[in-house]
Amino acid sequence: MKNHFLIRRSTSYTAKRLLILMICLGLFSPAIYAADQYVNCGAASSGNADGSESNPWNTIDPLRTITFAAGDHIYFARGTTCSIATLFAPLGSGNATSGSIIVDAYTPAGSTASALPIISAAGSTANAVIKLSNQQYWELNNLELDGGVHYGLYVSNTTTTPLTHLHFTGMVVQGATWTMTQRTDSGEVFITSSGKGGTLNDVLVSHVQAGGSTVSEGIYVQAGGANQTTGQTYGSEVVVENSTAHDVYGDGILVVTADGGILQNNIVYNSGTCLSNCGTSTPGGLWEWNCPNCIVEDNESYANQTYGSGDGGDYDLDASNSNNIIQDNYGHDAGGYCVMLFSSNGKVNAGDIIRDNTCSHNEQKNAPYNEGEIYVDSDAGSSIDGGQITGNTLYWSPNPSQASRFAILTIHGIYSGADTTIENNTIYAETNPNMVWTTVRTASPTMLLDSNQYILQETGATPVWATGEDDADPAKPIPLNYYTNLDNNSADPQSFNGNTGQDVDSTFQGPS
Amino acid sequence: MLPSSFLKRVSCSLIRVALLSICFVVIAKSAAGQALLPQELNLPDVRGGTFQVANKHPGLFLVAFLSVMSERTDSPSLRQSLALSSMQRQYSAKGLSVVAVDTSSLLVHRSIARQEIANVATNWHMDFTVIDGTNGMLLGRFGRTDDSPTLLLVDGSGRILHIWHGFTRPAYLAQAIERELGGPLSRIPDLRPSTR
Repeated sequence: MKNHFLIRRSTSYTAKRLLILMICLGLFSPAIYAADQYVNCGAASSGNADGSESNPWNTIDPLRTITFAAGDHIYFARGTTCSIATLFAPLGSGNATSGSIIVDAYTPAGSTASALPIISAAGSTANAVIKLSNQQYWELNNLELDGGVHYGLYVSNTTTTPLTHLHFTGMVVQGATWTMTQRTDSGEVFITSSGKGGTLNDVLVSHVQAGGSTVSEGIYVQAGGANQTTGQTYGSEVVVENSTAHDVYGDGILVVTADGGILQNNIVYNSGTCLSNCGTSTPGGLWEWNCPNCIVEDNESYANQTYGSGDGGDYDLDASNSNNIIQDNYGHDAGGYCVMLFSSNGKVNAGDIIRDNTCSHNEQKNAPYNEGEIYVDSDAGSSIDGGQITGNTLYWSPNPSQASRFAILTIHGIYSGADTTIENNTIYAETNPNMVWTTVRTASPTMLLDSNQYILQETGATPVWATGEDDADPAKPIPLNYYTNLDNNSADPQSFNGNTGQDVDSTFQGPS
Repeated sequence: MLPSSFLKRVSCSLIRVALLSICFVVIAKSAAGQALLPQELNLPDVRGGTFQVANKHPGLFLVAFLSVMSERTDSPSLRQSLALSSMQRQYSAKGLSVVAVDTSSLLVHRSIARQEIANVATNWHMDFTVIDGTNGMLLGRFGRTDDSPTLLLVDGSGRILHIWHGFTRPAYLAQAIERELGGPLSRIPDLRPSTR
């Protein structure tokens, strides 16, 4: 009897629990439903589609209403294309404890396709292909995004709340249709914190290819809040690496308002292809602005152009960039400079280092502008404090029609604080008499040039230490720099401006 | 006193060791690679078909032994792939062929499905030929068991012009290539690796 009672009670209890469980399943089905979603846009329509791997969706639409949660995965089939008419803005955020929401590619059973899955907004009016707004802990991997009007991938923080962990890896983003009319009005990969005080942190762009369009930016990361004269906020842990930006109207890769950002091992080419009507702010290949303590290393940047007279260079260490390092980069065949250090907006660029870079055959633009392979400058009210330009190898053969306008190493502008040193650089010149051009406008601190080598290859060329008209107190070369003329012409000077010289016959001579 | 049979065995063993050492030296010298015949690269392309040297410009080959399946996205092999794509893009019209030989099996100590390698090569945008070297002799000669690449610049006759171990920056690759195919970097002395 007792046992029977227990059994009856147990049966009833179990039934109630099952009922509650079923109700819960019904109430909370979206969250459970979301866990793993498979999309195979190459699959035939089926009434059985449920987003499982065996019965994947064949359109992206069912994903639009799901609020994804930490640990969820979305898989797209390799070798397939999902066409969309409106932008895809998946909902939800992951978190630090339970993990990210991860989008990735998968290979359906029986498939041998290795091509990245494509989400294509080509031919539509979708403003972007994928948009993540005020969301965090997302990882998008191994996906191609085609089309969009202003953007391919658009990620934004419009709040004052910091957002974190936004990772984009192994992606191709291309073919947005907008035609740039001013800087940052569009971009293939466009990641921005536009709310005052808001930030984006732990942002990773790795092995991403972006470009092939007429938009402004290839890869753009604005990690800090909206630009403010005081109280500017900075995002942190921003890394753009192993990525390629190419063939865009404006900038190749641009990182702004990030503290300690790293731009490494990227390839940028054919940026700045706009010819006209793209605004007055001119483009650069790979550059940073308002990016304290940032590092740019091991990149290659080439064949960049400009739609104005300035810029169109390979690397630009621009305004409000203190304690930056630009090292071991290769820049070549650009319309503009190889590396620029530029201070503006009334700020001081302090402690910046440009070292061990290789620069070749830049300044090919047909515009009269005094730059050089390395170009240091500041505008009124701004200055450069304690810069170091060291160990760079520069090969100089600019656009012949403009050769006389350029110097190989142009030092201009206003300096404050510590001396700026230029040492141990090796400069090879095919043409052009202007080895170094200084128009320093302050008496102290000064410019220290030490142990640099100038090697001329032009018959009869005479090295010239040029100064400009606004040179109130030009830096003087000190007699520890060397020049070598390789043509063995007895008419060549054996020294210039106090520098030790030697005239040899086609043999490289290092310093003694 | 030791029996003569024992002494014979010892001397035979010593002779074997000596012969083996000589063999190792010979193999090691061979591995150092005075030549890599381009036709040795006629191996399966992980993304389908077989790479055929005969279809390529006979001029110059940049051959990279690298691990496609490196687990870290910042591994030297995967970082190297950017520069390889860049060299392919800039110099293929002048006669350079960039070929990667996948060494993943040496790194992960297992055979890997070709589909798996193809997927990863696609993920990392390896815009050059990636061949499966598992069944060839190349891995034993040039492959490394870590995820650092070995790069060879080889002319059409198989002569190795340059060999680089570990991640190599684009400027150094470009200078060596321009010495063969022409270009501004060929006109200056060898770039010196930074000594920072």
